[in-house]
Amino acid sequence: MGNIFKTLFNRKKTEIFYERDMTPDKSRKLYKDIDENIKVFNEYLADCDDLISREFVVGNPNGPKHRMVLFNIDGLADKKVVHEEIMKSLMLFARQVPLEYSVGDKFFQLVKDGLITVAEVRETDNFGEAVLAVLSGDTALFIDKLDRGLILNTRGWEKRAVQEPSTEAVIRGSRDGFTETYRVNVALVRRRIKDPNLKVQTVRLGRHTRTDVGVLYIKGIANPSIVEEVLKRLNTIDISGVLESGYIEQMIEDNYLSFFPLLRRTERPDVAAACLLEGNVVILCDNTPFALIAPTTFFSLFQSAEDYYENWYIASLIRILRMSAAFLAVTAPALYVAMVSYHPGMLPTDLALSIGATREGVPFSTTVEALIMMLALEVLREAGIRLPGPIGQTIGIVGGLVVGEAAVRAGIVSPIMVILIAINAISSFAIPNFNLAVAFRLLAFVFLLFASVAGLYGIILVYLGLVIHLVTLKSFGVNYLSPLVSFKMKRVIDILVRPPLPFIKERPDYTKPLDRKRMRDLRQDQESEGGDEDADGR
Amino acid sequence: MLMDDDRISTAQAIALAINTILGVGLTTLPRELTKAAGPDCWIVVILGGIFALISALIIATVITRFNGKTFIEYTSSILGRPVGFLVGVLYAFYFVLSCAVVLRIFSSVIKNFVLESTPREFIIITLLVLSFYLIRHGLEPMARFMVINTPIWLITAVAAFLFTFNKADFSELLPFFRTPPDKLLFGSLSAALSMAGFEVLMVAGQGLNTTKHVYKIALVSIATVTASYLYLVVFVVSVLGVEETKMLLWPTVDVLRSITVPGGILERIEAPLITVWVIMVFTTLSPYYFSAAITIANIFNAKEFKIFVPLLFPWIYFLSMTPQNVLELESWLKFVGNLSIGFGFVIPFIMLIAGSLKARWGKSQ
Repeated sequence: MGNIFKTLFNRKKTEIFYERDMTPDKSRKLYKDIDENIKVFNEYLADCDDLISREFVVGNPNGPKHRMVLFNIDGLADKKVVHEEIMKSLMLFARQVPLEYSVGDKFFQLVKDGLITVAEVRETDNFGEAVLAVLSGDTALFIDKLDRGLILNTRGWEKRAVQEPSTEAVIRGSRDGFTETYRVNVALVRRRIKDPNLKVQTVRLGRHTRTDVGVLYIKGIANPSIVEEVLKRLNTIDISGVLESGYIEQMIEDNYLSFFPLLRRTERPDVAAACLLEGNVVILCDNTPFALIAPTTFFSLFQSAEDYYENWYIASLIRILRMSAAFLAVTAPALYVAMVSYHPGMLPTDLALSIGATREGVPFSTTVEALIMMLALEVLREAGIRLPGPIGQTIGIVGGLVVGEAAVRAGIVSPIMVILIAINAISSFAIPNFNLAVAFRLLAFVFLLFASVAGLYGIILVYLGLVIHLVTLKSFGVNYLSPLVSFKMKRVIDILVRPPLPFIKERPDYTKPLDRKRMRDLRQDQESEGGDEDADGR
Repeated sequence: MLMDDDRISTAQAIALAINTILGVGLTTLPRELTKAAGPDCWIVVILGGIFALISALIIATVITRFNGKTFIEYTSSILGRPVGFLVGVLYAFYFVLSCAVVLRIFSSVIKNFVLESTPREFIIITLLVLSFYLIRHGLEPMARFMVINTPIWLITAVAAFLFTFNKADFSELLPFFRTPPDKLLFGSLSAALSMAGFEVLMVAGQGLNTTKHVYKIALVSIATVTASYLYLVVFVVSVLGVEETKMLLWPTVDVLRSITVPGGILERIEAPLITVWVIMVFTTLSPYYFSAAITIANIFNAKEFKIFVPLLFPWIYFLSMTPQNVLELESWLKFVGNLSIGFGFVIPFIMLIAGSLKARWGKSQ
């Protein structure tokens, strides 16, 4: 009985978070007696071997002495900062403190304001805050005979350096990518937008992980309703852990049954900054280099960072290429199967004959042939990702070239099918967004199945179903297919053509930005002024 | 009843009207018109457009008087509750019948030209299921769907007929004005019938953002439809010749079959073109299906029209499977055509008069 009571009592004591919103329980106040504080603090972090606690004495050899204790987590706190800026300052320089300052509150103020040479210092009067801070990498400092403690920012752990993003490589553009550290990521964005209107709102998510999740937006551009919606949805997340932004993505997207990505992800701070400037909201999550961008439209997923760095005709050409690639990635096998098995009349006679000749001796129907090849390719792709770099390439060569060639020689598949599936796969890799590419590959199977049942009619059925689905999709209240649903021709043309920069005078309207104007063309103003002068001259 | 946010803009309504009107009629229109007026078929199209415009303007006027009421509520308020109820039931029946006929003609064309051995049931059910899926989302997504698909069929259709330019002999349309006026008038009536479809706005009108631009909707959509028909008829008749157009069951499809694409990538492209035409049929079927469901929902004063969508499904299916052969289908088509005079012109006209009388009477009171 007593045991049970004790367990219950203990549990209540060590639970520092009451609320889901991760505000620490502030009811448990600090004691004046330092021994009591140490005892309670160790109770909170009992059996946590990575806790470092250090008791020491500070003070003038002739004057009063103060017992102090500091807590931090091994590996999370920067040892150098703890040694140089806290311990050294307190133990060496505190000796020169005049006697009148070395008692009570005055001493506390002195320690806080004058002795500790750490940039960020907070006061606290409860255990909840202190424990949470220590677990986040800060150092907690308690002083004897004072019921207040100090939280010193000593966060500094081993982290990956800023590197070139591996999933969004560009030919032209900055080479830095997001890292696993939230603050570094925010800084990377801040370095690009030096504007006080760039707001960063941090929420903590995950009952156990307490992951920092930041919502970034530019006040005055981003529509407040979208920002509010993002924050509202984030606050509905109550999950034990958030390990990657994928968790958040799946928890806040509008339609989790759809296999289209309803949030864009990026590893590049320049993409995040560009989206912020267009009025989007960027969600950064600790421990992952992948930022989320909301709201997202179907066609924005076809864009790559480079589109706006390169010359407009290169960017436009690439945009059209990507669209064509998407079309091939989805329909190439289905169209082939439909044409060969249902509408051979569509093909020119010579081509139909040559296809017939190559299919001579192939034991399977075109559908089965296509399915075999597509599945083999998917497996190859997956295997290539899992294996380390050089072996992955070998697998690609062995699988793609050797097995493909052997399969054709053995008469299992026809060479045209190999060509077709290769085109199909390469096309799907040309789509910048990985999720979208996966969605398209899945769709290719659906199209193939329907094409094998009803030829072109089957394809158009899937197309209709797909468009109905896309038409009803929304990302944070924004039509997924915008700007296609609007009647603004300028916007619709934007899908295929990236206009020259001087012509993009307005932000895209799907984000409903508060400030539509993106650019003031000073050149044009000057010209028109000059024109006026000319007119006067005449 | 529609949800509050389920509203469509003027432009969306135009797209909805155009897409509803253009559909299965395209396949048979040149035959009917050449039968009626020979080489003067293009004049008939223009006259028919004028007739259709008059009826569309009447419907538009009625819509402006809705004042936030549904079609049934308005009818009840001017003609009395039982009559309003009856009109609602008749309209619902008409819409269901239109769906069935559209599906049936569609499946016949598909069976004849694209999928010879596929069962008719499969063709009808698949398209009906998709339509079901679309209209369950409501009016606004449906209108958005129309807007997205309009350029696809428009560009394809315009481009496809341009490929027949080298075969077209425009002297087939000569001589002008040789048809007696009574024949012209009769022909233009059948042209106007193939422009039926604007009446879906009678029930969909309750979902309009604003009724200020209803006349614009009527004018733009009927003008577009007339222009499209003109383009179609001129090309079909000048490619096939008047006499042959009269003989063929589906002259438009036969023109499409004769297209050869320069460059030689594809030899015959009637299959992909018919596939694009499937989109047009789908955008005709869905508004009718939607209108039927919403009319019944309005009759029962139901909060949600979605429950009536599956209830109508079997009726449409069985009706579309009823005609035994092409001849029977042809007589059904005529029947629905005649009905559309009643539902597209007579009833709106009565409502217009009754509404005006009631308004005047109310004022004098």
